[in-house]
Amino acid sequence: MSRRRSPPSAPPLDDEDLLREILLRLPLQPSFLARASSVCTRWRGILSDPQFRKRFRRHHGKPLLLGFFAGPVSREHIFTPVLDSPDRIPAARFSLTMPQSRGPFDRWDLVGCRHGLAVLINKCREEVVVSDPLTGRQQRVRFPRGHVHGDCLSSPFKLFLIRNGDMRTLGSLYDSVSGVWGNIFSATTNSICSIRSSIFAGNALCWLISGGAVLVFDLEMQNLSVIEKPAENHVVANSCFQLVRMEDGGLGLAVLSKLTIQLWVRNTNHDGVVGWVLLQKTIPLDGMFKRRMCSDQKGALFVGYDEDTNVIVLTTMIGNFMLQLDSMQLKHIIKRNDICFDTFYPYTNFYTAGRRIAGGDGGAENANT
Amino acid sequence: MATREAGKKMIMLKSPDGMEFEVEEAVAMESQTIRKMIEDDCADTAILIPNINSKILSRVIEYCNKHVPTTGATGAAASDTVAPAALAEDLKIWDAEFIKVNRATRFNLIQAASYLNIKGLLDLTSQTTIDTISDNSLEEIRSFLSTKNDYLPEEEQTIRRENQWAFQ
Repeated sequence: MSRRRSPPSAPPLDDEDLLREILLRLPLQPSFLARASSVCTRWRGILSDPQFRKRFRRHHGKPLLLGFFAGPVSREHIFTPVLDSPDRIPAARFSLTMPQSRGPFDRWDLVGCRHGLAVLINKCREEVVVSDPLTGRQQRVRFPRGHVHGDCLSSPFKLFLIRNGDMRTLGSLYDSVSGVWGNIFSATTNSICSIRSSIFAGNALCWLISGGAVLVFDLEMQNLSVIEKPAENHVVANSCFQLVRMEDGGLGLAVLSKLTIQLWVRNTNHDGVVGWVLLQKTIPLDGMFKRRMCSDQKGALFVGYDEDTNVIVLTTMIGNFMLQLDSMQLKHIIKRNDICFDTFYPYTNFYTAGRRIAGGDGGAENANT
Repeated sequence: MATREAGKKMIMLKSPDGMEFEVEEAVAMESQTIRKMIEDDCADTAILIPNINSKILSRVIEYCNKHVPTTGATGAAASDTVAPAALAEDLKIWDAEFIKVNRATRFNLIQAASYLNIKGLLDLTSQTTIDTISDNSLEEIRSFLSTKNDYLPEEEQTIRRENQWAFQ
């Protein structure tokens, strides 16, 4: 009973510990955090304090899917919010602004977002930028055998960089704590499908290889390997494949054929051999689109996936849809009159308004690409 | 005041204004702070609860009595024939009635719940504050919570502009 407490007559919101306890219970929805941090400087100070944010994350578990970054390759990616008002954070609050291009090959490609951080690669400059789109802070990492410069993000991260060519993929792991790249790993592969982000399943980062095979880097075993595509699968187009994280955290492969999604999962058979197994459950898109599209418009391709919320993004003749794979809920997130092949990179985070003013830095523990 | 029942270990809680409350150990242990004291063997006689007056402490005990996860303590609602969903619904209705108190009492309950580390009570008492934040304009939030706006005019303007979307 040694903790000091104000006498009961004092307003409890003056008690810093108590105020923190109350604010910790704010719902995840960004509007609550934005409203609360508008009340006064003390509230904003608490909400942008990294210690508080860590507790808030622990209290709530998974962050929300705020939206997607999408745009043509080599152009700036625009944020598309997916939450409804009043939690619809305007695109202008997110920034992935990169240095001015010095020539046609000097371009920054977004390769994915994880733990609130976005990862951009510039092959010409041989640089990776890890960026927090909400604070605008960035940390630059030179390709292996280089060094780091730029801002320092408050949270440590790990980065796995792969290079693909001549039927071979090389990879190396960077740790922001030590500031060094580790050993070079190598695997024999076809080309890695560049229109897809990696996904994190089990304890491994997984990339789609053209044709449906998977490149896997196991973070625990520190091992780079290849999983062959399901032998009985006859779909070949990359835009009809999407790696997914199953409910148990394991790896799955969604295959889109004739407006039906089939799901393959990695499973161990009676002999202890791990292989692909086709799930009985299929997802018929035909019925879902029935009311929205006339028959000659029908057709869909995968353009993105969020592993935390298990949401697939589809592109169609009438725009983009978000499909939640567990609830089968479909949401029309972008309406247009033609098909657009831009890749959608999901962005999940806890939103705190005005982190730039308060000088705090939130976000991530870990980013991988 | 609780009566001693056969086979149930009782604990004495004392408020600073001299009142004593005899409660079942299981009920008192709804408070993680008291649980730790009991487990650390610091509670052989009465436990003094500083800063929480008898009026608030009796409300806290009332809450713990209702929420202790054993049958019997909650009376008819806890009979074997009642489904868990119905029990949860009953608790929800009970909680809603329990929290119909004036602002000073609610704030005192928040302090007590925080000090005694009773998660359910802290969730319940904090919720009204959170509801205030979600349902009102900035001026109303500040007024309800007696919180002073200390932003400089230009800061206030920036914040209003940046967060306009959240008040729509």
